[in-house]
Amino acid sequence: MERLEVTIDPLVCACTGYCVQIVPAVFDLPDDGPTVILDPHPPMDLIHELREAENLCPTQAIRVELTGEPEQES
Amino acid sequence: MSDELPGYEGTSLDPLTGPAVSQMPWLRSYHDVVEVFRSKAFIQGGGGRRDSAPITGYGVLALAGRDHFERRRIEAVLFRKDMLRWFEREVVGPSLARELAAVTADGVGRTDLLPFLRAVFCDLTCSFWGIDGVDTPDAQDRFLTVVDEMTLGGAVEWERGDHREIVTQSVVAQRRFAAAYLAPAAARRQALIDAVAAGRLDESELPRDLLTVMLRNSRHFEKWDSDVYVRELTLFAPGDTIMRFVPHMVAEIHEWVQDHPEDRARLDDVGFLRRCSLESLRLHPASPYFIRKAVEDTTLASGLHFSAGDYVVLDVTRASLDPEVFGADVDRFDPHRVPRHKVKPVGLAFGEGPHTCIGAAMSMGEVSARRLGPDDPIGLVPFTLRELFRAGITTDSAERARLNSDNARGEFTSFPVRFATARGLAAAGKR
Repeated sequence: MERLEVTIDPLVCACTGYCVQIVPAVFDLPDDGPTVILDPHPPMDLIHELREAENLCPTQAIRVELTGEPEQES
Repeated sequence: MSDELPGYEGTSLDPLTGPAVSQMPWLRSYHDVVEVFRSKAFIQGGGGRRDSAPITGYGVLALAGRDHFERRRIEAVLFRKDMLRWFEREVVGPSLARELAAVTADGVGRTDLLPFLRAVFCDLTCSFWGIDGVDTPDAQDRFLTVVDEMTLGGAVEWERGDHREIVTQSVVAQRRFAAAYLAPAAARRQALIDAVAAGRLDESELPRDLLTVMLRNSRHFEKWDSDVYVRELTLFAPGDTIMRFVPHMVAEIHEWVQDHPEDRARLDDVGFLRRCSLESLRLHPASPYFIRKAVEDTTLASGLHFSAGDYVVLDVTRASLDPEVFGADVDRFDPHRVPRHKVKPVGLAFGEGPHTCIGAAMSMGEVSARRLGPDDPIGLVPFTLRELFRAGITTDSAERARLNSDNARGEFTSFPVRFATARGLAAAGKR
């Protein structure tokens, strides 16, 4: 089954907080950084917000991928 | 454009309000600077005396809070991977091939790297901004003359000359630019945007440039004034910034491989060139310092206290040379350096926190340890360095490089080089 997988490279994260503003259910930024992922497999209906967070990250620390097999139509 | 510079007096674009940086405390430790960059207790907008405000005011660098976030969201479309790939392979690649062919045509391949890069990155500036018709050497020269005059005022904080005089010249240059380049380009783009709105043109046929992005979001930009368009363009001169880095990198990489011949074969390896670029940028950041203003009382982890309203200078040059973080030989170029702490190898050259340089990935590509895919952009700086080294670039021992003594940015005004071979020409513009 296809699902979303969100990862972040903590060494590359610049702590902009943009991702937290766009998808607070998935990202959090502690005061001393770096950004942490609250839900590494968020629901599919967040994909557009997650793609924006990925694009908005100036250091490209975030990666959003689709993993697993797409469901076959019967 | 506004008629006279004094029209800004008393407004937030007044260039001469607020304390001078010499009157502010300077933070030089890496950890102090990072903490302030990240802290919500400090803002960048209105951060003290900004002599460049008439040139770049209300630009993305000067905004704070919601306005800043909204601006970054709007402009992020230009920094998506597909755009970075396009700039790299379809804009800079062909420009590099053209200029390398021209300079090696005499079989000698001797040139000054500064005007060479200026010509290479002219196309990038035009493509990124959305300026049309700069397609002959004479047109490039006229265009770059006015761009140079505009961008000088945009970074006047680091100039040693009379700031008011420089800013006034840049305001005049912005007026010339607005009339000769911006107005016709904006009219063309607005007509296309109107055609999309009327259903006569598909959205995918719109130009992909900053001017189009700004015009499509005019409600956001014109919250300030209509001159914000030219000021925002002046802030985003990608070629102008990259030109400042590359000569340092060529010099340091050239010297490194002379002393470390085992790395010479890696001059075609973009991963190695990216590490070299980051290390060089740590030593020579494009912006030597940033100013922040405390918006609430706060105490840093080091015990330093700031009250609401205090200004502070973040010395990124010194913070990126902090021996506690980067080791005892911090001022030496070493692309294999492993910082003592888990920090970015580039130091603070791109800043940190909400104002992290929007063009970081454009210039350096993806710096994560993740393996790059075949469609991932390399980064304009490693890409350019690879093509220069493929063409056999070496410093020209017969001529002396010269540093600019007019400002504090440590940039070259002359950097003589030779290209030993033309074998990289066919590869420029391709991976």
